[in-house]
Amino acid sequence: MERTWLNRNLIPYYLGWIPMAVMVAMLLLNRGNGPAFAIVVSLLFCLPMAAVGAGARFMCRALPLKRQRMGIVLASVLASGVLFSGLWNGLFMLVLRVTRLRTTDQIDAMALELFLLGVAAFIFTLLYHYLVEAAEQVRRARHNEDQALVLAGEARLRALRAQVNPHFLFNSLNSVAALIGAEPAAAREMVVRLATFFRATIAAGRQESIPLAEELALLRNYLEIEKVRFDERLVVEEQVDPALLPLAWPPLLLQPLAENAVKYGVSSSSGPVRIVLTGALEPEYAVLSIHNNFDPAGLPPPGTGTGLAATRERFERFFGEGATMTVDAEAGGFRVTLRVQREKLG
Amino acid sequence: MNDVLNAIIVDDEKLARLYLAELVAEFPEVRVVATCHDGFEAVKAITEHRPDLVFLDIQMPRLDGFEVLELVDRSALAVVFVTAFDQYALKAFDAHAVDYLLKPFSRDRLAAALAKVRRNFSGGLPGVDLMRRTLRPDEKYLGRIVVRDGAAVTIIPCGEVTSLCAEDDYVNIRSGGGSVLKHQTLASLEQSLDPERFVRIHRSAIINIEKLERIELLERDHYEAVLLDGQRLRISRAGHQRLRELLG
Repeated sequence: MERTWLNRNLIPYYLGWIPMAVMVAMLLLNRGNGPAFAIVVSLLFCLPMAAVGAGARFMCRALPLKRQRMGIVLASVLASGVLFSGLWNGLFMLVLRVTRLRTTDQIDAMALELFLLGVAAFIFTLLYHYLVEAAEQVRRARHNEDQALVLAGEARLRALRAQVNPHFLFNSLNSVAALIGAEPAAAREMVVRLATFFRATIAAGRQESIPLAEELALLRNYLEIEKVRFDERLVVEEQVDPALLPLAWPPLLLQPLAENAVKYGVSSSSGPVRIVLTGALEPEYAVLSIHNNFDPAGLPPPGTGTGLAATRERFERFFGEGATMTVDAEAGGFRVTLRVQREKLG
Repeated sequence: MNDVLNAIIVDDEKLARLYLAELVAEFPEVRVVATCHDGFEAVKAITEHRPDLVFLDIQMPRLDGFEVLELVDRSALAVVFVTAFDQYALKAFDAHAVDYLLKPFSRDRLAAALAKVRRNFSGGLPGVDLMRRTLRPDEKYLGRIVVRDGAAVTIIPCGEVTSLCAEDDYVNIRSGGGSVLKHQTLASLEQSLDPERFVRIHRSAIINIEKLERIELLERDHYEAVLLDGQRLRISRAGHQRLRELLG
């Protein structure tokens, strides 16, 4: 918690008051006062004013500098300066008068100059606070920006790590080992598909986006690998409106969703699993969805929740506000729906 | 054990079954008597054929590998787990009739597994709980309980269980679907149950606190639990203490 009157950020502010105190002292000396009087009065004048001025930061926060309100801000600054200096000098003069340290004439001679000095000092104080606030805002903005970059990078890395699912890798290699003996041609095809998959995974770390058409080709490649593993148990259907194909898409975003669909479907029953991928244009959104059937009585596959969360984060970060990912677990089925604002289609 | 090992292959992936069968065919001392593509088939085949050895995939639809072992007679059974990815090897069971193969595996590795099984056959199998905990340390508690009655396998999600009561060598498990008997001691089953949800209210009774309707005080220091399905169970003094701790 920062303190209002005593914190390290205010050191330059208090140092700034030293020339002011010197000026007040010189003024008093010029008016024929002794040095002791000039120094004491100058300190009595400046110290409380510096303290009150330190609190003026709240006024700067309440009245931030904005182009459309510049007139109001300037008027407020001037008015508060006059009010502050007026009150302060009034009090100061009253003290001098009551204590009879100086004659009325001497006091009157000082009054205007001290008043103007007070107004100037107050305005400079406010100016200082505005500068500090502006610097703080720039620093905060840069910090937020850095953080957003770091988060985006982390999300991408996490997505990639999730993509290289060891179960998928080793089971696929096992399928290749099996095929080499029985069906060498199929084994070769499987190796090429795996190479395509891992090449895309590595590339996804560098590419910001790819056209949806390419993403769907990668998804098909992935599902073909899974089809070799699960044989006739896996049925894939795809109905995507061609109008969606040019959409700029974060690479391999759909893959973990398809993997979930396979995992859910295949692990919950030993019957066929149907995965349906649809893409349609709605009046406001381009909508993609992946659906799979599952047996609610079956075993839930371990660890799918975190994968979904990472995908959601990556999706929302890429398309920004307005893009939504919804997950529906209905009776006997599981659906993930991705909605992207239509204007993103360009 | 005979000179020939009768073996069963269990894997939900066709190519994985094929690969294993192909490699095993090179060992004349092993005879594959059945191949199964899920846990239910495996339970049935193991009960019917009484094999010496089962090659068992762990992650399978419907019933996983551990559940299969829980439901069959393990007294003369050796197990080789066949799995794609498990950081936690079964080294702890070196003296037991259990080994594992990591997919894809070589012919030599299979030979070593078979040799180990032969060597340690008399060591028998470790407890299924222990194997599960060793291979899956992240899955602390059971999500469901499996029970076999003859060839019929019942799966009860733990959330649906209302109470578990010891009856001789069996546990009587009550749930929305009625009650079934499972051949296991209450104490060993208790270890695999989530202690946030299941509490032992008596030496021979555990209840699911989500199914507890009320606690009745019958006389001084004599409490009874009334469950949502109307069942009434006596609460011991220590059980009452545990219940109060759990309910806050």
